[in-house]
Amino acid sequence: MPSDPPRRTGRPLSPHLQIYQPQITSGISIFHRFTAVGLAGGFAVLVAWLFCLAWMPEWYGPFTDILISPAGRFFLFGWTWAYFFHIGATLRHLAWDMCLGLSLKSVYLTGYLMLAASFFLTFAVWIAVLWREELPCL
Amino acid sequence: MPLKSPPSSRSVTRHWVYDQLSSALFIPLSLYVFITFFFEVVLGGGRESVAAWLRSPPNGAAMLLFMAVTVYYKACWFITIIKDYVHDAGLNRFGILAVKFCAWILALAGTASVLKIIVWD
Repeated sequence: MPSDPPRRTGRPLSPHLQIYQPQITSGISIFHRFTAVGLAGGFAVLVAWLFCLAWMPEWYGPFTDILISPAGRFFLFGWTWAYFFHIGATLRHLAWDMCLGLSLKSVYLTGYLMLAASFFLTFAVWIAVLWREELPCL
Repeated sequence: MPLKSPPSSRSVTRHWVYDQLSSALFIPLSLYVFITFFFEVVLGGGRESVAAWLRSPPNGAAMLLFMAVTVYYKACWFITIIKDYVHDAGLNRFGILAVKFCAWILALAGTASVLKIIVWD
C-alpha cells in the first residue's frame, strides 16, 4: 500500500500551482489545459450549430448571426488562438513521447516558437477572414 | 480510505495508445475540417453550401471522424483535469461520470445531425 493520501498528511496536492514559480514551461503546460477546456466549449457550440442546421432550420440563421456578432467574433478569435496554441503544445507532447526535443534548450526553444506561431497563425487567419468579409452569409 | 487496486498494465497501455492516437489524429482532421469547411463553405456561402459540403463522402466521413476523435480527446482532457484538481472523492467520481455523459450527448447529437444532413436533406 502506498503512503497515506495527501489530504490526511496535510501536504500540498499536485500540481502545486500556488507555490511554483511561473516559467514558460509550466505556463504552456497549464495553458495547454485551459485551451483544451475552452476548445471543448467551442466544440459544443459547433455541435449545437450543426444540430440547428440539421433539425431546427429556423434557428440556423439566428445562431449564425450570434456567432458573427462582435461578441461572437470575440469568442471565435479566442477559439482560433486556443486552437493553434493547443495543437502546437500537442505537437510538442507527441515529439516528447518519441524522445525528441527533451533537452532543456529545445524545450524552451520550441516553447517560444509555438507561442509565437500561435499568435502569428491566429492573426493570419483573421486577416484572411476580414479580407473575405463581403461574404454572402455575413 | 483504501485505495482501489491499480489498473492492469495492459489497460493502462491501451489508454495511453488511444490518448496518443486521438491527439495525433485530432491535428490533421481538425485542420482539414477547419480549412475546407469553415473557410470555403461557412464563410463562402450559406446553409445550402454547408449541407452540400457535408454530402460529399470524404467530407462527411472527415466530419464524423473529426467529431468522434474530438469528443474522445476532449473527454480525456476533462477527466485528467478532474482527477488532478477535484480532490473530493465523491465529487471526483461524479465529475468523471458527468464528463462521460456530456461526451456521449455531444457525440450522438453531432453524429445524428451530420447523418441527417447527408441522408435526408
